[in-house]
Amino acid sequence: MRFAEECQIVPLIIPVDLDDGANASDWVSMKNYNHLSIIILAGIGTNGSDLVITLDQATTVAGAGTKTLNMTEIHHKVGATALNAVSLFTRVTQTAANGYDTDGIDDAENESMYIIEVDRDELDGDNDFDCLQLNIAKAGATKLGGAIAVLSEPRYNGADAVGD
Amino acid sequence: MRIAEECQVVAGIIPVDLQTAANPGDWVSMKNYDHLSIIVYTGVGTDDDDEVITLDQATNVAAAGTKTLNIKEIFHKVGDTTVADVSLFTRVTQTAANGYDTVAIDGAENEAIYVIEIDRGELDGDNDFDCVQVNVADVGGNAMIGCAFYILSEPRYAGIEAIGN
Repeated sequence: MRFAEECQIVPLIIPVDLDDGANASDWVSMKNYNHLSIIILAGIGTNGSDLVITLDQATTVAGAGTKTLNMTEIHHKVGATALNAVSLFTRVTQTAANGYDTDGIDDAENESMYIIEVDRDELDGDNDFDCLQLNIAKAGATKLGGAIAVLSEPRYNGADAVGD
Repeated sequence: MRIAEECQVVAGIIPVDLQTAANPGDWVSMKNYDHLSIIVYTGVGTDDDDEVITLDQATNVAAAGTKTLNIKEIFHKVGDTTVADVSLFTRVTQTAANGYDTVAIDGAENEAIYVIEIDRGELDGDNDFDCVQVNVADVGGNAMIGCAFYILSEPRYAGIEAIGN
């Protein structure tokens, strides 16, 4: 699958030290896409610098009406310092909650990758919520990381995902 | 498309300051995948510290017989410091060459996403080359945080791995 041509790849959090501050991503619009995959990649931190990941939804990419988008499922690879030795993802489910705290899987002490899969109908479509934002709380100690969004199942070919 | 379930996503270069040293990515095997999308993702750097991206191929993930895999096509989004405002990719083609130097598009001064699409048939399959590595050269003397992902698709089987031989 040629992702550059068949999907829309959008930056969420430009690679940064996640300890510089709270990390609110750019907003992406799912108006023209049925599915969104969020990929987070992070380096090793220090004990206690576990990532806390949350999602928000809004009616525009300017963040109008921002409210929580609950998470029930996350896929992760967490390496015992070396992520390249981890082959397959581990799928974690939870009762719908405002975010996912990686403390339980010792993210801070490891390299890690997370994927969050979101269908458009998980948003509050009845009230015109079709935009989404990823947030990663301030890490607590130096930890480099970045995140991208891959939007798939487009309504049209070449559909835009960064405007309303 | 549920990428976590339908594709194999592998860390290429863990987020790092690309000026620390040369940045060889981990090796991935295409033995069980027909297609590989390489995504290189970088923050803003400093003028002249443009990323130079190269690819290698080998016969196993321990890098046996490593040799160049030429690049002739690259997709990029390069923001005027803010890549979030760039909607669609720009496709660039070049005569097959050992790498792509982003100096022409001011990779150093901008946030950027690069995607390189590779079909397994582009590797030297006649001689059992089925593994690929992305490399980003040391960008220079100034900080630029960056990383790279591999997304392997079109699997031969469901649920197969991509980091072993």
